[in-house]
Amino acid sequence: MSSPGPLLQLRQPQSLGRRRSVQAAEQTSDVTRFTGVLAATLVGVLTLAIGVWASPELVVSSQRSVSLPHHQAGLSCQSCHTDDQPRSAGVADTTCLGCHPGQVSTRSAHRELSTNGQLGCTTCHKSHTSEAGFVFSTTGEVTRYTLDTPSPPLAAGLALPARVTLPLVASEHCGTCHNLQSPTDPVARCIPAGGEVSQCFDEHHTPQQVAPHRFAAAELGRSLLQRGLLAAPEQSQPDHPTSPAWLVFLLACMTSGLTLVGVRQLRRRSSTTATPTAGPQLRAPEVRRLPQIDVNTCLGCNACVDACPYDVLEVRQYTARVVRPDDCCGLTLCEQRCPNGSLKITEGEPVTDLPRLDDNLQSRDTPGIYLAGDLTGLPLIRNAINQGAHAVRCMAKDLGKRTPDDPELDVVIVGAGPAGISAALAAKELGLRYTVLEQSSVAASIRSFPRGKLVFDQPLGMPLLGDLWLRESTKEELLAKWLQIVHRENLQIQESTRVTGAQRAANGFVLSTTNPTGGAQEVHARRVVLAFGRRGTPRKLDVPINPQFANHVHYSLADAHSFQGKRLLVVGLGDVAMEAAIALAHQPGTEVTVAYRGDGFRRGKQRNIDEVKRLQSRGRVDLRLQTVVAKIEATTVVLRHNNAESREPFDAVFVMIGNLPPWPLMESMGVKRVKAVAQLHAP
Amino acid sequence: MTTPWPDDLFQAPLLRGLSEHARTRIEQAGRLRRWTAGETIFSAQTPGDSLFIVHSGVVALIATRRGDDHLDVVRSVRRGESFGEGATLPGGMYRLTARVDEDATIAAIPVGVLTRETARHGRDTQGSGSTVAARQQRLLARQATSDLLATVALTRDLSRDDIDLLLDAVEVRGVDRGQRMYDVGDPADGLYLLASGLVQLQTINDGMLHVSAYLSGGDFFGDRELLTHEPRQTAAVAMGACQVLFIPARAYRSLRDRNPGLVKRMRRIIDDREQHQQAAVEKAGVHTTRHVFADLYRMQMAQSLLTIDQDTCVRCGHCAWSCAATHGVARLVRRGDKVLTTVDGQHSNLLLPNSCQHCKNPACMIDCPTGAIGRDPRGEVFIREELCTGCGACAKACPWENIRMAPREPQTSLIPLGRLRKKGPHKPQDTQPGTSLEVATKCDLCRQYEAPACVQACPTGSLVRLDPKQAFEEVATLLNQPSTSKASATGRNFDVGTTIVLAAALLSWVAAATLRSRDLLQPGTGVGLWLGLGATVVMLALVGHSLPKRIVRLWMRRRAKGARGPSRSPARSRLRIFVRIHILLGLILPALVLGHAGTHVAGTLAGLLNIAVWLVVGLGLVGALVYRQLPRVLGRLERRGDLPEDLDNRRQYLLDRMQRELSGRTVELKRAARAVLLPYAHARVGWLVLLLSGRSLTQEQQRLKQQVTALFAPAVHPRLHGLDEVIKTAIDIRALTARRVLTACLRGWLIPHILLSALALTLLSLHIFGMRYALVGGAP
Repeated sequence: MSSPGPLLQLRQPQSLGRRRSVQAAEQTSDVTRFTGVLAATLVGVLTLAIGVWASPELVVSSQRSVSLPHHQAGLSCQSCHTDDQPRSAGVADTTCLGCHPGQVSTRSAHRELSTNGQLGCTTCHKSHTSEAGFVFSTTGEVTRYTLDTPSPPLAAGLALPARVTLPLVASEHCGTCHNLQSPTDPVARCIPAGGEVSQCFDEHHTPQQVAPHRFAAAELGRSLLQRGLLAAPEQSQPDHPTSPAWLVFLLACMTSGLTLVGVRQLRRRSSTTATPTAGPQLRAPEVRRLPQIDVNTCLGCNACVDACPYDVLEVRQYTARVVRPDDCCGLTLCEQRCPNGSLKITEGEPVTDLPRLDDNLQSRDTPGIYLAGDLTGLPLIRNAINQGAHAVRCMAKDLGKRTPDDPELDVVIVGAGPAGISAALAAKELGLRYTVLEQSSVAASIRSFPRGKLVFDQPLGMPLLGDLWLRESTKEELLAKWLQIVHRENLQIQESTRVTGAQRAANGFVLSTTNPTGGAQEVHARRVVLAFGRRGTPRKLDVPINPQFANHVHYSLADAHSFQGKRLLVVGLGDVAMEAAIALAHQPGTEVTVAYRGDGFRRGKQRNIDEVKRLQSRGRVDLRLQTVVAKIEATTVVLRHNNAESREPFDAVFVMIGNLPPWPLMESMGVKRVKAVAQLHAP
Repeated sequence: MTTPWPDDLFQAPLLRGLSEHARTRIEQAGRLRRWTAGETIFSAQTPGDSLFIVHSGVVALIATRRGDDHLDVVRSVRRGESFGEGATLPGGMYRLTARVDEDATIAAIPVGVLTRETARHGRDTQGSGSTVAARQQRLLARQATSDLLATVALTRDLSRDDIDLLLDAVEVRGVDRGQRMYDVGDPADGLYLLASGLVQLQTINDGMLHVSAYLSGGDFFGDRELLTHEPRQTAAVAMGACQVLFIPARAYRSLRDRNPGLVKRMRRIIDDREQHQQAAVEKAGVHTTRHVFADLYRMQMAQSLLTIDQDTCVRCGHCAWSCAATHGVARLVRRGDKVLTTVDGQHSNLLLPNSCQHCKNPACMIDCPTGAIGRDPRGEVFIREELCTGCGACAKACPWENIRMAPREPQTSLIPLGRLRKKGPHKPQDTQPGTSLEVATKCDLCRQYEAPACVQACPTGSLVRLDPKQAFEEVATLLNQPSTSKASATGRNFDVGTTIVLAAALLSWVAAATLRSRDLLQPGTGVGLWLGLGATVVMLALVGHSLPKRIVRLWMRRRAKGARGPSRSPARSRLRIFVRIHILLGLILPALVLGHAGTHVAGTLAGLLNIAVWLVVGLGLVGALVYRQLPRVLGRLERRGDLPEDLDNRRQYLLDRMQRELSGRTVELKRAARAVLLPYAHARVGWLVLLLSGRSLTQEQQRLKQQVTALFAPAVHPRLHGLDEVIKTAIDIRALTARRVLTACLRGWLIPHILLSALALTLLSLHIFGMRYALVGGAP
């Protein structure tokens, strides 16, 4: 049978398994996008209504203006339009004749039409659309108007005994009956060719009937029209104040816009400030706390197991059990997550393995030395970041002014993990002279995480102090982000510098350091922040190692992927070793051997043990118990089992036999543990 | 809470001797109900989570025996006995049909709860509960296995003796999602029969997954290496919870020796399958990128998958809004993977948002410790809030993050207020279920109503719930399912109709404006006045359009009480028609306004009203145009569905990703990035170029790749490892700006449209009041 070619190629999925965190329901912009719109609408409408109420003429003037004389006479709509008559019916002649008595046409044809009801006052005088005319004042000035817009007055040199108003009729209105083009039409006498207004000042009165000054005015008007001396004014906006209408509208738009923005800002602020529910926890609990589980009510839901950062708990037989009590960190994450109160944290004996610290994270025994991070007994990256920033801030307050005999540095930070970087950022922000000493490289603990591991940030409403970035992200994202921050802020970090001891000196401390090239250096600073974590340094194999092979001896496994097809030896059977062996065994083509000096599984998570056993049964892992490494040669490793030695070739060796705790170094600096002090006082 | 169950029910062998506590739990989670003769309790080959215990009456288990064409009664179940053992096997599925013969009272108990309670609280009288429970489990499992074996293709032509031999040797294994049954290089130790679930045979090379086969229920695998005696060539990975029957190598060999034709027959079955799948993948061709197969398990599991057609979805979010209006908290988040596939003969660009898909075999239901998650006869999965403890086990189990934790009693109002109640740290007072502050929430297809709110409220009808293994042609072919997808000739093209409507509208505008300008229409008299009144009515109708959108809960039809039966009429959008009417009225309104008020705008209130109406209409027209044209353009630029707020922080994320992808790479790659990719990503108007070019992301990718590789001699090309990822990121950065602009266009016009509508309406009422007041009222 031949092996078939691949059906299709896919990008490798991240993970198919069960997650350890739950997602809370969220309010997306889909739901909130109309936040504040109702309020904004109401405010806009209200502004508009109030604005209009304050200037009621806006409402009334919303029709065309009347003519200037009517206006000046103080006429309103009601003066012509009666209550019971719709405006569409127009204005009855009787209404006009009430003010203008005796205005009957002098022309018989017009008069006939008028009596038939086919011609009315408003047929020619359109008071709302095209009313125009002349006003002659008693001071000898003449003004021409269109609707209610007057032209600039012209000195006519003709003083009249009384004011005279002469209306003009737009020729287009005559055109509804007359033929304006025909020279034989009677209207040709009134309208000169191409004229826009008629000059039929004799329409209602013959020259004989009219008062002489009106007649003189009519003649003057006619000559002015013919000579084109007084042009009709461009009809501008009506003289009612029009700006308030626009102002009110703009105001309404603005207020509603502002309301919208304001409501949204408020909502956003209230949702961001409400989050932290607890203050930052800065010190580890001083008494041992252990979860107590009521097996009668425990649901076996895994909530506590998933919450525990140290895998203290496991579900067996459908209930949670405390399987690794020694690793309990005393944070109450499990209790907070338990859905029905079956898990309670009880306080027990005092913890003796903690450094003695005050609230500023300063050592009680050697003031001037501050601790941050895992070292204080408090786990979680978030806590480490908080502690680093907190310690440096407290120290800065305490430090006081520099004196000339002070050493060059204010503070030396030992360790460049989350706590160390956070402390360095705080020191830089506060303008302190600082340096960071790191035995390997920046964020080495994060680097040692397996590829693609999701760094799990417990979102329990803990606030984050300081400037260091932290999200739930993959190892690579976190590392890249931190390196970027270190690079951008140009943090003073000396890598590959290992602190071997510290001594009190004048105004501070002197730290002696070494680096791999054998160089030694002394660093003098006023204060020290210890942030090197609990991992200490990996325990080394106490056997001769051929220098040719030295590069192939690893103390952590970051990328199992790069060991495909290799022969690999894992020394140790703790969780770290088992996880490495499992990861390596899952790579294609690997041959994984695990050597352990004990005679069986002693400790470790059940799921790791199960998986190793499964892989062993499949032949993917060769588990050698009671076997130790005797010697590492150029290409082979000598394994000793029951005093029988065998020489086997390997491509790489992983030594995972635990770490040397950092206590001796700390105690050499004078940082004492609770235990040590307790022993001192013991009788 | 149910009424207490009769005491003698707990004397059934399976329930005997349970502690008081366990009884309470079982009563809470279980259901005791009466069935009348002739009713079917469950059908063969349907998923189930309950074990049934008969309290009174008789139930017949029936099945079609292999080779027969009639139903046989396999066994009759009487008082105290149990049936539905299939549910106890991993992947719970009933293999027989259960029909009520005589009126019966039957207790249905979720298997998970029964197992937990018997194992934990044990039996007061019979010693260690867990060992009894384990033995009982084994018996139940063996009974279920024999049913199961009969359904597997391999055993079709085996003799009775061979089946018995198999039944003795076979081991039923439940495999979790993502777990490997074997890995490359493992020794070949046996043959696997897949009873249910989906298995991928794969090898991993250089970060890419090479899939050699997909196997679904009834297939077998792992035989190739058994014959050749070599280690495993591929890894077998469960794509979801699977139920496999493991046949050890020895049993398989003896079976093979007894049936010489077996190998040949197996070979034929495999060849058929491989050819079929190969053809399906090739047919999928260019229109479906790998997306549709990337999560084939999801497609296979989903019974009611929510899909949003990204080519027509206007991103208004009304689906999530109406969900929040119905349930208090939105159970639908418009964010998720995109799938390119063929539905009804059309190449569709579908978003699969975060919303429960009602799996055939729900991982959440299996993981729930209190049996709070149930499934009704239609296959709809729902959460019983009164049993939920808020532990979150289901939310962690759901592979697609479709379950969220929310406050137990969210503020429900007709309109969602856009806030979730904030609570302090969780401090439960009571150990009883149903008292926690939080509950798990997920889509329940609006159980109280006839159809889901989201689907009904979609203004464009882009939101559809469907069964992907039948509706997606490619998936149907690959999974060998009957496809419901039918080639449609019509398409979604109504351009002719739209053009006619638009032309008619424009004509009417011109006509009205002309008439008005010739003074043939007067605002205050005759037709002109009537046009104004008509405009008022139309404006009210236009504004009224917002009403049905806002009161979703009032018009949704409640489901009739006790309605059973497998089918609900397929849901469709009920708001779509309102939108169409709204647009149509919006096109009519300008004609009325022009006829009434003309083109002249006075500086008075009437003039303002005129302007406001034109602004509103203009914005509305822009909106309609944007809604019609932009989704397709936007869909072309998306790799997955994101919410507008997700895009805000995405740039920094992409820049970080770019840096990560470049760090530790070759000098050549960095040079390529400096010379081509970084300028490309940061170009100021790059987004506009991308938009106008009309290229898809894949085309853009090919173009850039050509551009980069042209810079280097062919010998150097292998040193450009990782180029594809960097190119993708660079394009994403460029596309991001385009996406943000398009999203802003899709969303930005609406709120001004609403606000101006309100102002216009106010102006309208003032205008009407003023006109009436000016004509009829007294002096000011």
